[in-house]
Amino acid sequence: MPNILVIDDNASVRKAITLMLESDGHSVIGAKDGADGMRAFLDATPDLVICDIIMPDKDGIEIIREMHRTRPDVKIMAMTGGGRFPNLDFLKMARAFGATDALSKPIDPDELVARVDACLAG
Amino acid sequence: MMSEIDPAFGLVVESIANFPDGLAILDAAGTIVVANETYRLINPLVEPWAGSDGAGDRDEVGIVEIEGEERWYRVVERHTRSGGVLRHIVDISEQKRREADLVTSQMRLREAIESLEEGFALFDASDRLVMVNSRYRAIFSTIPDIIKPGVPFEHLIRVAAERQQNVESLESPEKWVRERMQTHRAAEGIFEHHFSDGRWIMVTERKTADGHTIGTYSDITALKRREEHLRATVDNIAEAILVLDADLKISALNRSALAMFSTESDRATATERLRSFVAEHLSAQLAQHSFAEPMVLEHTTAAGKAIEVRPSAMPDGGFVVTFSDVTARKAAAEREHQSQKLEALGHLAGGVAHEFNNLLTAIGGFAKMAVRRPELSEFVRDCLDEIITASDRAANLTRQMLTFGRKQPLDTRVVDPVEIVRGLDRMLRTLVPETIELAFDIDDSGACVAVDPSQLSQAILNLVLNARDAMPDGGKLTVGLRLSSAPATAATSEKGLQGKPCVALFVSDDGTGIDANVIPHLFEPFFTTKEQGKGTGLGLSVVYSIVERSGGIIDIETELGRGTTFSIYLPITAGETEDDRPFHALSRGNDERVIVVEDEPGVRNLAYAALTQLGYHCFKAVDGADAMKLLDRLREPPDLLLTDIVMPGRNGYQVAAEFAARYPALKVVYMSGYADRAGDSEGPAAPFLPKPFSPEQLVAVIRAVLDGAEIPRLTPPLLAAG
Repeated sequence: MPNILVIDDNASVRKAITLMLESDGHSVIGAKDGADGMRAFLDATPDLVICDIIMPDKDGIEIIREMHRTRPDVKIMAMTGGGRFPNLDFLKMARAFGATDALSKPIDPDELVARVDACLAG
Repeated sequence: MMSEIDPAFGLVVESIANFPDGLAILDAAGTIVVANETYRLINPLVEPWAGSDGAGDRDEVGIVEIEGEERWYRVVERHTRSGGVLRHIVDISEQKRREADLVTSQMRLREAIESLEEGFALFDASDRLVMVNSRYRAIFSTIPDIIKPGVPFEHLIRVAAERQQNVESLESPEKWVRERMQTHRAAEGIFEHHFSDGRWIMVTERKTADGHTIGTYSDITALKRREEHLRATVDNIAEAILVLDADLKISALNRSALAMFSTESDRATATERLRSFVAEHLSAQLAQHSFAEPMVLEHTTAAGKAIEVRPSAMPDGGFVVTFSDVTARKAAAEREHQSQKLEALGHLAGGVAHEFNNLLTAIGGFAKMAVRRPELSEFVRDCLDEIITASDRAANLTRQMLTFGRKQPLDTRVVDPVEIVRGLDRMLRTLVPETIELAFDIDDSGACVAVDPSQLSQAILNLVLNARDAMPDGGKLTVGLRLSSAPATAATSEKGLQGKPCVALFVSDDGTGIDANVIPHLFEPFFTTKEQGKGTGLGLSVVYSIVERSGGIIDIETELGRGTTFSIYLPITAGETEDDRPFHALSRGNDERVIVVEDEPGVRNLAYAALTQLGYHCFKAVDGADAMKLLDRLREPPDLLLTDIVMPGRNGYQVAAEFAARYPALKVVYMSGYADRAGDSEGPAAPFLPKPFSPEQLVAVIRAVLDGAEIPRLTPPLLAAG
C-alpha cells in the first residue's frame, strides 16, 4: 500500500526521491503532473503527498489547494528549485494553501527522510 | 550855355555813370555835380535816414523798401577839402543775408550740440577748453566750477582726480592724470570712466584736422548694469562657455570655463589651456562647420574630467562653444549599464538554477543512495563520493545564483545587526583557520536596520570567506559594526543616503589587497581572482545583490599588500525589531471579481492562488481569445482586470480595451516582464505591475487599485501606462 505520492514533472527527480524514500521503508507512487497526481491521490489514498510547484499545465500550488480541500487530513510537502520567483514566496504560498512542510531542491536523502518522518509523525 | 569840357572830367563822369553802386559828387551847397543813374534812383529812398546835411563824413546802414522787398543799403559820405561831397550808396543786402545766415547756422550748431544726448566738449590745439554742452556739465558734476572756456584740459582732470571723481584714479591720482593726458593727446580713443558715484561714462575723443580735440561722453551705467547682470548670469551657468571670434581667438569666457581649465581658476592659465584646446580639438571641426553631434572628450581639462563639447555658429562668423562636465553622467551610465548587466545575469541565473536543482536532485540523490550499498568496490565508492562532493558544490552554487537572481526583498524585517553578527560568531570561527586572528569590533548602538536577516548573514559570510582567502599566510580578520554616515559617492547619493545615519558593517583583512583595475569587476557574477576551483565568483555578486536590495551601499578600501576593508552601509530604521508579519494582512479581498489574463501558467496560477486565498473571486483566462470567451460568459460585472501585455494573439491592451468597452467602470492593472512596455499603450491607461512580483506585491497593488488608493511603490517602481 503506497503511503507517499510524489508529483514532479521531472522523471529523474521523481525516481531519485522514490529511491530515497523506499530505502527508508516507505512505499512510493509517482505522478508526472497534476491530473496524474490527482488520480493517484484519489485512488491510492496516500498518507503524504510531496508535490513540486513549478510544473506545466497545473502548478503545484493549485494541486496542493485542491488536494487539501478534498482531504485535509493528508499531509502535503511542497518542493521547488526556484526559478523566476523566489523560493520563499512559493513555499510560503504552499503553506498557506495547506502544505505542512516545504523543501528546497536539490533534495538531500537524509534531510528528506528526516522531514518526511517528522511530517508523518506530527 | 555850352562850355568846353575838360577831358579828365569827362572820364570821371563816364566812370561814375558806369559804376555799379550809386555814386555822386556834390558841391558845398549840396547840389549834384555829377551822379549816376543808380544814385538818382536810390538816393531819394535813403534820404530819410541818410540825407546829406553837409555836417561831415557819414557811414550809415539802413533798410529801404523797394517794390515790397526790404533791401539793405550802406551810405558813405566823404567831404573833400574843397568843400565837395562824395556820396556812395551801395546795396549790401547780399552781405547782410550771408551774415544773418552765418549767425543762424552757428546758433543751429550750438543748439544741435546742446541737444546731444551725449556730453560734448571741444578743446583747441593747445588743449584748452573751447566749449561744452550742458550734458557735459551734468556728467562732470564734480567739477562744475572749473568748466570754463580757456581752462586747460590737464587742470580739469587734475581737479577731478583731487575730488575723487573716478574709481580708476583713487589709487594713484598722479599716475591716472598722466595716463589720461596721453590718451587725450592720442589721435583718437574710446575708453570708459568708472565714477565713484557708480556711474559709467564712455568717452570718445578725436582730433580734428586743425588739431582740436572733440570729446563725446555717454552715460553707459544702465548698459553696464545689464552687461554685469548678463555676465553674472553667464558666470553662474554650470556649463563652461567660450566665445570665439571668426579667427578662433577667444573673445569671452565664463567662470565655469576658468574653473574647468584651471584648478586655481587662474585666468591666464585657463586661457592658455583653452587656446591650445581650441587649436588641438576644435579648429578643424569649426572650420568645416561640422558640429551636428557634440563631442565627448576625456582627460582634456585641468581635473581630467570627461567633457561634452558643443560648438554653435554665431552670426558674426564666430562661435559659441559650451563644455558640460559629463563625468558624473558617464559614471552613472556606466553604473546603470553595470546594474542592468547584473540584473540580466540575475534573471538568467534564476532560470538556470531551477533546471539545475532538478538535475542535482537526481545526480546527488542517486549518488547518495548508491554509496550506502555495502557491496560497492572501493573504486566505485570513491567515484560516488566525488560525484556527491561535486553535486554538493554545484548545489551551493545554484543556491547563490538564486540569491543573486532574486530581485525582491524577500523577508525584510527590522533587526538589530549586532544580533546578526553575534549569531554568526561560532560559524565564522569554524570557517577561519587558526593562522587567522578573528576579531569583532562591535559598537552596540542598538540602531536597527530593515534587512532580510538570513541574507545579511549570507553577505557577511561571503565577505569573511573572501577575507580569509586573501590571507593564505594568516593575518587579522575583523568583523565590525558602528554608526557612520555613508561615504560621499555617487552610489550614496543615488540611494539617497547622503547625510543619513547608517550602520556600517565592515569586514577587513590585512591580506593581499585588490588591484585597482579589478575593482570595477568585483561584483560581476563568476568574476573571481581565486584559483580555479577555489571560488565560484558568485560570492561578491551575491553580497552586492543583497546590499542593493536592502537599500544600502558597499564601499571598498584596499591597498595592495596592506589589506582590504569592505563596508556595507545600511540606513538606520526607526522602530522596534519585528517578528514574522501576517501574510498580506491589509490586502484582503471581499469577494471582488478579478479577471486574470496571463499565458504563462506559473504566473497565472500564482496570481489566481494568491487572490483566491485572500478572499477575491478570481477568474482565469489563458490568453486574449480565452478572455473574450470569459467576457461573454460573465453574468455579473467584474471589478478588476489583471492582464499580461505580451501574449499570443490579442495583447493585453486590446483585451483591456474590449473589457472597458463593455464595463466602463472596470479597473485595469497591466503586468509585463518588459518594463519598456509601459510606454506603448494602446489600451486604457492603467497602472503597470512589472514582473516578477511577489504574491504580497500583487495583492497590495490590486487592493490599492480597487480602493482608489495610492499604489504602493515596488522595486522596480510601478509605472503608469498610457
